[in-house]
Amino acid sequence: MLESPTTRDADTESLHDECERCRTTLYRIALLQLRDHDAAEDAVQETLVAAFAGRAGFRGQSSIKTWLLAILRFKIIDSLRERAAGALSRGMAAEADDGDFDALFDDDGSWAEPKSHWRGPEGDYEEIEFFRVLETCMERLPEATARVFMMREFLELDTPEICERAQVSAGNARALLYRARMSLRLCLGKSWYEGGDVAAARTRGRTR
Amino acid sequence: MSRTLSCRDTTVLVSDGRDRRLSLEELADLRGHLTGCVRCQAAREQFEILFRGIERYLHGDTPDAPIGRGTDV
Repeated sequence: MLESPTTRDADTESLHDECERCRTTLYRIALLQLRDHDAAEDAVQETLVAAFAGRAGFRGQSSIKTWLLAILRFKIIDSLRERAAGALSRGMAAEADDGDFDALFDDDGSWAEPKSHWRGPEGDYEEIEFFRVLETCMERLPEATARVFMMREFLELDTPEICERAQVSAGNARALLYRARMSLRLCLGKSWYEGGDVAAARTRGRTR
Repeated sequence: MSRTLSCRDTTVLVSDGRDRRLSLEELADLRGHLTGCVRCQAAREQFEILFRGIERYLHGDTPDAPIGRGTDV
């Protein structure tokens, strides 16, 4: 059955609006992975073009943002394959050192940081603030750490694939992933849960 | 009861557990330590909140900001 032109135009227009609204998120995630403005812009542009070309295949089972991120994931995996662009720069070994976390623990490896209790964000307003803080924390990760972390958590590559693409040893990949998660936990604790007071974090978020 | 796991060791295992299947021995050690350590129970909950947040963020399962374009998270 043929769609009426009116319906199709309306759908196309709403998809266009949705894509524009997601552009910032797509760009920020692409940048975390690619660490290069132009490459990230290109990946987002290709993703949106591919989404439009394939819009008939979008069934609405997931949100448009989820669908676009899935396309972006494939685009970036392809680009890492084509250009062998995953290899990490020097300085990677320094990032793999977990000495930064010494202050969190006593000499015997017991927790030395102040005790704190977290709860997950509740409701749209808290969630929006929570994800803003998380996003900022991810953007603060050092380059090699962020790229390996994103290969694992966003591209969902396994450790051997990461070692191959990033040209790192399994030990370094493991250390960088550990560093990323410990840093993010620390950052989220400081920026969002400090003192266990979510309200204070929200106020800070508003006035920042 | 865990033999030798420190709190720091458990954080390493919790991270590793996202990248590979932990061995039965590792799981038993981890469980043993967590059972007797409230600090690590709290840290584990914090990691779960973090991991769930990362998954949702990277899969687009996030609420849209109410005003303006390009400001969704």
